[in-house]
Amino acid sequence: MRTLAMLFALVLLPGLTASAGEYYIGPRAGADLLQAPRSSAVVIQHLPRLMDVTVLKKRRSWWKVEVSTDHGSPVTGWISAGAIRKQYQPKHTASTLASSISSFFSMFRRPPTGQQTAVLGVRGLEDEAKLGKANKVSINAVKWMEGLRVGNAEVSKFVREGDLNP
Amino acid sequence: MIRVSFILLILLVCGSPALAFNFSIGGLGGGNGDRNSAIDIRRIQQGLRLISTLIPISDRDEIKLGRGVAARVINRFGIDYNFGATYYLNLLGTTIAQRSDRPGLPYHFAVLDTDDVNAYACPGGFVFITRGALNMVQDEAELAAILSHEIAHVTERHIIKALQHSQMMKIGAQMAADAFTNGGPLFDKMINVATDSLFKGLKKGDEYNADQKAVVYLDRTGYDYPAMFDVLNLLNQRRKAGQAKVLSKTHPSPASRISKLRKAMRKLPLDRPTGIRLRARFDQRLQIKKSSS
Repeated sequence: MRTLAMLFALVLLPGLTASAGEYYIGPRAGADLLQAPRSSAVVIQHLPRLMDVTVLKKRRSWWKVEVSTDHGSPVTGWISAGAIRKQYQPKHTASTLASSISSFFSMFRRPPTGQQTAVLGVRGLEDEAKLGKANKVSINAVKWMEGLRVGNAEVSKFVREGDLNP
Repeated sequence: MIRVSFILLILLVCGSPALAFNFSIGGLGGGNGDRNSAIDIRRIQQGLRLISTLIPISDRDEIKLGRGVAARVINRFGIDYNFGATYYLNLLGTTIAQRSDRPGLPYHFAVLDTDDVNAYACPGGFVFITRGALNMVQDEAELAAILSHEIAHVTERHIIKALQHSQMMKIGAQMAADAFTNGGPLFDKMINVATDSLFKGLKKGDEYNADQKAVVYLDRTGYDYPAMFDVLNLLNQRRKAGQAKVLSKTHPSPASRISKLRKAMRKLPLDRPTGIRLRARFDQRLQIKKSSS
């Protein structure tokens, strides 16, 4: 039995390590961190959108995650799997320090201040919205892209720092 | 293209199609007999037909169309919501776009959730790079080269031109204008045609043209423009490894692109390469661990 448990640990551990820092809360809304894997469970805290989470266990539509908090000690709880997204994976593994810093600052991630652009009601897109859920998600993604416009001051700083042509 | 330029020149000189007709018969064709006159008349008639089918599409309409095409691209691949990478892409892309031939458009950049190596430019300034392409490039100058190529497709209105020349746009100027204003099935069809030309690939000439423009934009921005050749070489490697399947079907081979670009660069107004590659910033912004650490 003990041998079997050790074998399980050997198989599962690499998977768990790979999950760390790979996931975050989806961009549309935050999610509730719950004490148990059911929607009626007690809410531990509300997690803001784009916050990094470490996935500890995947149990059908409920995933057990660990999140960093302002006061340092991590909190563990359950989140609906639908609220979690997979991170972009750089070609080399990010350093632990970089991941920790990223995890901390991810709590404050927002599009650049004052850069949210008004989204015009475009009939073509509205028509697409009637085609199904997948298209609605895409339309929201387009709006997310439009909300990420950078300002002239940020571009000037970027140019200066890179010693590019002004 | 020469034929179109010829017709346009005549129209400009004479001020009206009717005058152009007379000028062609009496002036250009007259000296060489009736055969040349007939050729000129046919050329003018063909030119007039061509001009009448090219329905103008304003920047505003192009953006509307681009939003629809961008939604379809995202629908196909999914989007990577990594804020840090997307924000960096927007800083870099906007820097280049402001030095492009259409700096007034509101450009948007995002990462597509696929490991295939590719990039897409939708009308109106919606530009995508795949996660596979982002992982392929080694420094900021190479990433800038890919974005410059895509921005060039937007500035040269390649998709818009493909749409203007499609059967779809034989509907007439009024119906097209109504479709842009009111949307509906006709506008959806326009989005479909534009998306098709994006996924099936543009003309080879458009790709070569975008490469040349990309080098000019890199030079204007101050990046080391030979990075464009490095990207094409990397693409060649990925292509051989089967990691750029879609791109291989929709683009000319990297080898022919390199060859065409080398020839074209002799005539491009370029400064000397700056050597600015910005590897450290690229690694830092994308949280890539330096090999030395």
